[in-house]
Amino acid sequence: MPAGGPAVDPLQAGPDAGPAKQLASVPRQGLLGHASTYVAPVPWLRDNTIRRPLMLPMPMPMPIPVSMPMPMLTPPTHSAGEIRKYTKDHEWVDLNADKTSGVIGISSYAAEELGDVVYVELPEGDKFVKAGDAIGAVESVKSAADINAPITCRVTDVNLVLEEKPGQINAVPEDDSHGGGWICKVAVDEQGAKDFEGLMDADEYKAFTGADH
Amino acid sequence: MASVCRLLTRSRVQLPTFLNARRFSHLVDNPSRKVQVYTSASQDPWLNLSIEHFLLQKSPPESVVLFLYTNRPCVVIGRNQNPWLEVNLGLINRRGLLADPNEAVSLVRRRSGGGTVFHDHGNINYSVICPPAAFDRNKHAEMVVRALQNLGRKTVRVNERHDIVIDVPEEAGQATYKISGSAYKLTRLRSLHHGTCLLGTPNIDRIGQFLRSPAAPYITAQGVESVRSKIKNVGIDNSDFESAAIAEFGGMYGDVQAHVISEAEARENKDIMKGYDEITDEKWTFEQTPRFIFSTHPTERFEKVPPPLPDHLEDHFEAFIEARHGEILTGEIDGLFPPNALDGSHLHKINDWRIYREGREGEWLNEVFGVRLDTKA
Repeated sequence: MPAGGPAVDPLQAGPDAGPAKQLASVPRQGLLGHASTYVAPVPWLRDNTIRRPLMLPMPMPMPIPVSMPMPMLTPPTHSAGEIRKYTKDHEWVDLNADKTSGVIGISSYAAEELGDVVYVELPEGDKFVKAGDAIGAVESVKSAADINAPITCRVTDVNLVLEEKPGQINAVPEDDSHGGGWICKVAVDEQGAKDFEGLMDADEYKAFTGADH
Repeated sequence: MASVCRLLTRSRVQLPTFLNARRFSHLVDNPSRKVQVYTSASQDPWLNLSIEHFLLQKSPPESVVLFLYTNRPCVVIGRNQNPWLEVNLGLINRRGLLADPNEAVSLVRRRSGGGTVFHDHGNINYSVICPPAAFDRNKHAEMVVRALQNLGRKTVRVNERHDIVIDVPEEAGQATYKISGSAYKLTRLRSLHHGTCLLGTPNIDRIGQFLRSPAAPYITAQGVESVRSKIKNVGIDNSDFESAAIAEFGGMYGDVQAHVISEAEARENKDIMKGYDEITDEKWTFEQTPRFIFSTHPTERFEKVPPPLPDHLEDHFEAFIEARHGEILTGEIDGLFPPNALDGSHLHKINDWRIYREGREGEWLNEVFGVRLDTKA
């Protein structure tokens, strides 16, 4: 695996191209308040004609609801009943004890192989996919690599943290908690549970990555 | 071009078109064809990328494939890039400043990662598709380096960014120029490495202008930002490069006859056209853009200090636009009425900002976003 440099890429620019100069600028007093106290517009205030930034809570990026969790499903827990298995394509999947929901991510081995992840294309919410289908992609060192569904499943939730912090894939690829590098949560049916049976457990996967690569 | 013409004649077998299409498709997925070499007779950038994608998906899992093609003028952005940040869209929409003023420049988003490049007739693209186990970011860049060295360019080499550069002695000492950039796409069964090679573009001094967006100083974006490099033509004839690259590939995997894919052959192939429809769709070109913020002033969520606005704009003019997948989530422009008028609009579908902000400020937004002003077309 070649060492990854900064994973952005090839650009042919004119011979005169140099790093763009950042021009100095003086923050100005404007409509929305002085630059240093400017508070990002918040959607729920939009109908309000009066802007009162001081009354707002900390400006937070609004989460984009990608999907509504299925009401019938219990959210995946990190209970002892959960089992983790791996695919030959280096994804992992946790399945809960009653085999109805799971969490998907990419393995530490794959994260290391990919190099510095600079962008994660998250799966589409509420999408039904078959085992092996591409559900998203990660970009590292000029490479767009598919993320494949380890089992037949329906995506119920995606890890929006990765939009802001793609590097979590390298830092904690197999962490399924908040802030971890997990990719998505899924609802699983009988076919998915059957697909799961065919995957490798941690020891088998370790042997696989040791032998095959 | 001589060798291309020769290959064309050789491959021109008169068959009914549907048989021809099947014949080509079978050439690609035939499991006994472990080494395959193709060149494209088309200069349509989307068609060539779609042929390449077809080869990636349909060639036998254990095979190695070389594909060479040349595109008419276009700016090609990486899979996870932002066209408003990387490209001078206004210049493209005004048909550009090419050596041949009759030529238009297309904006294309490819499926592989990496940064923005300019293609025209003086640039050859090579791509090598192989099993993922054999994937190595430098292996086939080295192959192209050997081809160039065989053509007398002894000082070319692969650099730490997997690009091909040439060292040139100059008065001030040795200078290094990029002549080729690489990008990759990895799927479950196959890996693709493709790269450009600047042989003799007449637009060498104009390329930089296409790759500088007037909106860039006002944008912070997720996704992938390009890295600028000084570039140079390597000064080799297209057909000489083609022959040398095919010979080097043959040296690595075994010599095979190159097949020239005709435009008709490609267009008759349903799988190729499915991919073509996907990447020619503006949804792909613009809505694949990662989340970004355009702001004329620093805010808590926009940590950059943008340059001062032009003097002719009103002093209190401010704009803050946040977009995800090309769709405006928050659009705050001084004077906008109703205040949520922009929310939910797609940035690339806005053809005239003066609808939202009259006067010079609207004109300035038209300029920085490089809109297609239908009225002036």
